[in-house]
Amino acid sequence: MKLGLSMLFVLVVNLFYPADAQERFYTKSGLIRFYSKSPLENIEAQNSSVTCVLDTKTGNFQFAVLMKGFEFRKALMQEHFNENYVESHKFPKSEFKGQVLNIGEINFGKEGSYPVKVKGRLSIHGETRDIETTGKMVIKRDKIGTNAEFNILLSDYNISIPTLVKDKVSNKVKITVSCLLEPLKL
Amino acid sequence: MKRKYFVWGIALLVLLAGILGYLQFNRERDSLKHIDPKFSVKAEGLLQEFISNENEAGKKYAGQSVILAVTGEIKEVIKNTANYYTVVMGDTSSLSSVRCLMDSTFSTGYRDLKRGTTVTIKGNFNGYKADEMGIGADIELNYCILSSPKISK
Repeated sequence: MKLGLSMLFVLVVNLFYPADAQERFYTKSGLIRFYSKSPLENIEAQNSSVTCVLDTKTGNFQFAVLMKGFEFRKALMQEHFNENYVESHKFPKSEFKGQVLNIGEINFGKEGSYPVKVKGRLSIHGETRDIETTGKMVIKRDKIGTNAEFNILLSDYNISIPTLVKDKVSNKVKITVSCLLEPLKL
Repeated sequence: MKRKYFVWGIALLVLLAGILGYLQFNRERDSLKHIDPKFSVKAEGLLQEFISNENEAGKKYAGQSVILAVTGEIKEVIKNTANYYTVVMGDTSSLSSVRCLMDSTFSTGYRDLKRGTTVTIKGNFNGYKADEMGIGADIELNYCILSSPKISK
């Protein structure tokens, strides 16, 4: 009798449990890094609080990051980044909304590493641009590791480099995102 | 003679300016250990302020470096792939949380923090992420240190 009730409970829970919830994976502790090579000094920073969601059914992929969460080795660089470059008081968040184009080629039931193609819109500093890149998804047990790398131009996002250092700071920035996604249990 | 002193004076000033500039350029971030918080708040109360009126709360906590002391119950302690610890505080039945990225300089004791313990964490307010992805809203702090209870390193 007890077993019967338990099975009924599981059945009822599954009936009312949103199907997409079981197909959504997420993290709030993803890692994003940027790197810019320049004659004056290489500029690099990281943020370990990336929120990222993947829907394995539709391929929808989204991540968001607070700009003030980027940590630099040098305090002055961090202050300039927030105040003069990305103006984090005006534009506190950056986000990417897109899709894994070849989601159908990934077997989420089989452990392994899969190449992925990602396309979407990246918003930084109040400007939104199309981004298309390749990356990797690693399926291990019930988790999904995602890694992607792409370049952006600061000028595309209306981030201006002060005239004094214009020749010494690169307009091109390499961005690396890596997240370990877990199933979303609502 | 006067001219000689003048030249030496200028040279000394240039040297001092150079040293100060170099130190400022290479200055590292200060630890929050000896900095007093601007606001002392409860984790759930802080979240509620943003959920009910994001604009007003945003204005209240605006600034490049706003230090908060947040008290709440630990939901989870996460160590990410880069070995950074995040202490997650708030109501265990909700997806929304206050997330404190701990200062790596003091990180060795964080793994011993237990779910359900009430802690006070001092950190730099990074901002608020509204629940746009259906996974809860979050308030983020970084460079966090544990104010209480004290843990051994």
